[in-house]
Amino acid sequence: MPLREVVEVDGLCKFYEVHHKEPGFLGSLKSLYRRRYRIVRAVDGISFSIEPGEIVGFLGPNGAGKTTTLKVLAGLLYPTSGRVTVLGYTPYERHPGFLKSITLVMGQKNQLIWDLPPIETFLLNKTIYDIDDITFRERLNSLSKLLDLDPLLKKQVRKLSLGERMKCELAAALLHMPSVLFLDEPTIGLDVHMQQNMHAFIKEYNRLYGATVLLSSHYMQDVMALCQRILIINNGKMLYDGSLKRLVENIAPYKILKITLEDSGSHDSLARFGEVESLNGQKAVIRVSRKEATAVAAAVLNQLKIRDIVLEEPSIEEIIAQVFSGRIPS
Amino acid sequence: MWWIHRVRRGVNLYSALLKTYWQVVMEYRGSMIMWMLSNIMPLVMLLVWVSLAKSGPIGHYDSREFVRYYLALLLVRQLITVWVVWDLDREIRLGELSYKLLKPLNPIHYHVAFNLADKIFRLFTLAPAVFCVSFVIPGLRFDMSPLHIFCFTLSLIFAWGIRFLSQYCIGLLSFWITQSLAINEAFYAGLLMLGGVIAPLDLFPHKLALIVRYTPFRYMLSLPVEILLGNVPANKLLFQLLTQFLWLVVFFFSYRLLWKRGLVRYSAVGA
Repeated sequence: MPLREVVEVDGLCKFYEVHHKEPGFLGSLKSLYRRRYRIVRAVDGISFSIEPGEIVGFLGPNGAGKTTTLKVLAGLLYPTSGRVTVLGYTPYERHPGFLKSITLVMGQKNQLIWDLPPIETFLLNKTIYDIDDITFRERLNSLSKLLDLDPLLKKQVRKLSLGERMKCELAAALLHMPSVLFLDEPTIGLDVHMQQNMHAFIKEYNRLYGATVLLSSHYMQDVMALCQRILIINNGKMLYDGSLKRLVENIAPYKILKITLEDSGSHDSLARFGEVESLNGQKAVIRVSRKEATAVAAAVLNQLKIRDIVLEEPSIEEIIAQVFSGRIPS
Repeated sequence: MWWIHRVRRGVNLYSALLKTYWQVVMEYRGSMIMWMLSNIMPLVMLLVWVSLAKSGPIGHYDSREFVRYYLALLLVRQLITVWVVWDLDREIRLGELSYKLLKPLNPIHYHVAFNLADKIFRLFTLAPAVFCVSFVIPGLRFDMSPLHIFCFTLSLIFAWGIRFLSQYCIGLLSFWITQSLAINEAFYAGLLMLGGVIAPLDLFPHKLALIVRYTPFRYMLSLPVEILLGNVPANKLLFQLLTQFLWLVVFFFSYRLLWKRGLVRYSAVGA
């Protein structure tokens, strides 16, 4: 029977005991005879599940618990409590069948052998994952095509640029064709062009192999390009689980109307259309009710002398910031 | 037959790992040679003992016997060199271990293969040197009978195994403490004192020698040297090799225990 859910997390908690040290030399001496510990609740009772083939974005500020959750899912961390299964396996048991079906890519760490060209890491992974010659060649070819690896394969890893290295990291992490991908900040430090390449690649991989993807990121661009569904966590607690579209509609029942007037306008003349966010000479930004947005835009065009008018969705960064600060949508 | 599959996988894995790490060793061949040359402690001790032996033999060692002893020691020491504690300490403290844990292969195999690749390199560099020396000075030749060479090789492999596993165990302590490298230094001092570097073990005072004979340090270095020189009587050879094997087993089970417990610890505190 095929699995209905690829990832199932139920009441996951992960607490760390962290040694607390006063700063400086005296602090070091003090901690020699009396060590103080503090419990950090990195993940504090979250639940969610992911269906096969979904691409889910995992959002949260630094220290929210994203990486910890991903590491629990990849089997690197024991949960303090709660139940976690991935493809029916309990991750921390690190069953070979489990390890062969998943991958975890961490944007800030690397698995490539530093002193050798990336092809050597690929060849080693081929043996470790028991991939036969023909399959290996096929996969390497298709990954090379998708990621444009050819010129990089025989160049020493330490001589690759960050973007080039990230591409090779991804290839190394995907040679065994995992069906579940955990990506932790996969685009960190990459320029806009490389980020877009990465998005295209993840989408294509998901489409071709029906892989399930859970991706954490700081860049809203990543999430907007890839994910229909997002999870938002902060302080280890789940704040939102649902579609990006619904989040925008619930959190921001307004749109942004940006206008440029013929002459400089006054606050009073604009206030009747909506909430004036800013007015700078001829340029004004007004928040208008989502439902009446089109009508209001028409009214503005009719009643004022306008040089330019744009109706926009509020910025997703702003919306997420609102969720982080505690405004949870119903 | 599951075991045929396992053996085949083992062979495939080790040939792939050795191929990879051989290239890493070749990248660092310059520093490898510097490391080998910096291993001069036995030569210093040789000079000290030869000058002392000028006024008459010490125990059964005259100058020539000291030269033979320290040359054999130099050779064996090159072949049991292990540095895994530094790699392991770094991997655990900086979380680099995580990537290895994501793969269906116990991380110890990477380290074993890296070390073996280095040993192959050393054999290639040392063999001509040993050959030249024993060609020029017949007095320095060793017994070349097949049984003798077999016992020496076996003892050398065990010695390397004990040295590797004991250092691996110390490295695994990094799961709990930040001072595993300091412990390794203390252990290394033990090897210098009680492993036969400072002095051949049969020159130790009788009572001390009895204790020293059974510490693991002897089995990491001195025993293969003693066998190579023909200093272990044939009727005691089997017993000595068995004792050495026992130490290997002890360190193997210590490693299994520390690895299992350490992994729980690693995944509890943040990988």
